[in-house]
Amino acid sequence: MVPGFVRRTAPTGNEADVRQAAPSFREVFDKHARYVWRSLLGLGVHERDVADASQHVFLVVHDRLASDQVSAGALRTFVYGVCLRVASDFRRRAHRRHERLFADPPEPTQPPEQEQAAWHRQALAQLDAVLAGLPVPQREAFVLYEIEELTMTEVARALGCPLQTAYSRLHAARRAVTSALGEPTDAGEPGHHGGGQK
Amino acid sequence: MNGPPDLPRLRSSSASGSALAAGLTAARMREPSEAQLRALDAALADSLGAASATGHAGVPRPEAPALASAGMLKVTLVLVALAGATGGVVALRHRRHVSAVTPPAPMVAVGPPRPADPPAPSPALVAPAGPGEAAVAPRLGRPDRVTTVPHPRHDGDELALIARAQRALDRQPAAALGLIENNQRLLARSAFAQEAEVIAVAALARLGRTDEARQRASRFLATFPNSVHASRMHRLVRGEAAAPQ
Repeated sequence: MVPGFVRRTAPTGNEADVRQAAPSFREVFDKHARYVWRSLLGLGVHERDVADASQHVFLVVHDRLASDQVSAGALRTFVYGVCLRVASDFRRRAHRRHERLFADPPEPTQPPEQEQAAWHRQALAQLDAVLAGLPVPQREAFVLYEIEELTMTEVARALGCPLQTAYSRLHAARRAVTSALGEPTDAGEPGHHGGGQK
Repeated sequence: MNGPPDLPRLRSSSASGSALAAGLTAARMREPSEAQLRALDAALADSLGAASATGHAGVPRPEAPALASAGMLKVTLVLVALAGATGGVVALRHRRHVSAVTPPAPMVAVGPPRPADPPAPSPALVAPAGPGEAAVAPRLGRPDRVTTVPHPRHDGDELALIARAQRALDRQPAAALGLIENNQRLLARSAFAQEAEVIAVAALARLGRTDEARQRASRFLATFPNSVHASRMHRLVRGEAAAPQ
């Protein structure tokens, strides 16, 4: 056993405390399944495929945990890294099948009390469509930072690129997304009053 | 860990009520339902099979419907045979469609079975029929040759190939290396090129081909210096690959 690497059976759910007690696969699944699912959708896996893609992710994670190949402190970014590759694989498969890569449009009718939800679905469909048009590295950086809310250090680690490269990808993606969705292009950019409020 | 301060996130910095803010909020909330999680959990438990000793016991299964097909039954029998022959350590896993485990949750529009799935177990893993035979390819007396392992008959499931090689690595490193080498072109173009290289280097090290392992690991580190596998490759370069895990 290499100190600091995830062991299979020690029980804990606290990633920060993995040196003392690493999580079991069950605990890893419980802790990570929701965001794995969510990030795969953000990365362009079709809703029809997201369950299978999630299963792929956890099979890879299981293999790595079983052979102590994951640095415990980097488990979350490792899982995201697996998500990126599995999403890439599923996007390619979908492309081979000539399928659409983004979500279906929102349902046409909604009760008045669900107008907010309908608005969110519509906005989500727009966002998905914009993300689908981005170069993959930009999309990955955007999803990990803006949706998954990783730190930029974690984003760079998950992407396997230098920090400045991750920033460059994120900035490019933000420009494209904000432009497409009618936001000021300086929204949230540094040096632009830090807020970009309309 | 200290880089420039992170940017304000667009979800909070964009105008309230804007399409961008709403889309990002909705994307953030796009998590699986409890039913979808249960289905995923059950499918994983089935896929992991004998490997569930890792603690993934799965959830109580509503029924055992998906094993009813002849194909799945055959896979299950092979699983049982392999588990018996190998002490349950090397488990052949067969990825199941999550949608086959429980009815789909309302959010998911489940389509017809995809033609690409599920891949049948490779002859390399299934072929040994005798109870005492090795689960993977036969051991080689000449470690400088890779095992002849059939190419995957499936055209797209590189991940299944990687998973097979990974499972073979501990006990049959020559077979693991053969899988990677025989499918190098396919894997090099796949999303799992890094994983393939990690397995190949580990297999070389376990076969005693340490010089080749170190050269290949060095090439990997030069190509992917920021890989999530970099630390492991550094360990492999240092000669820790063959250490028991």
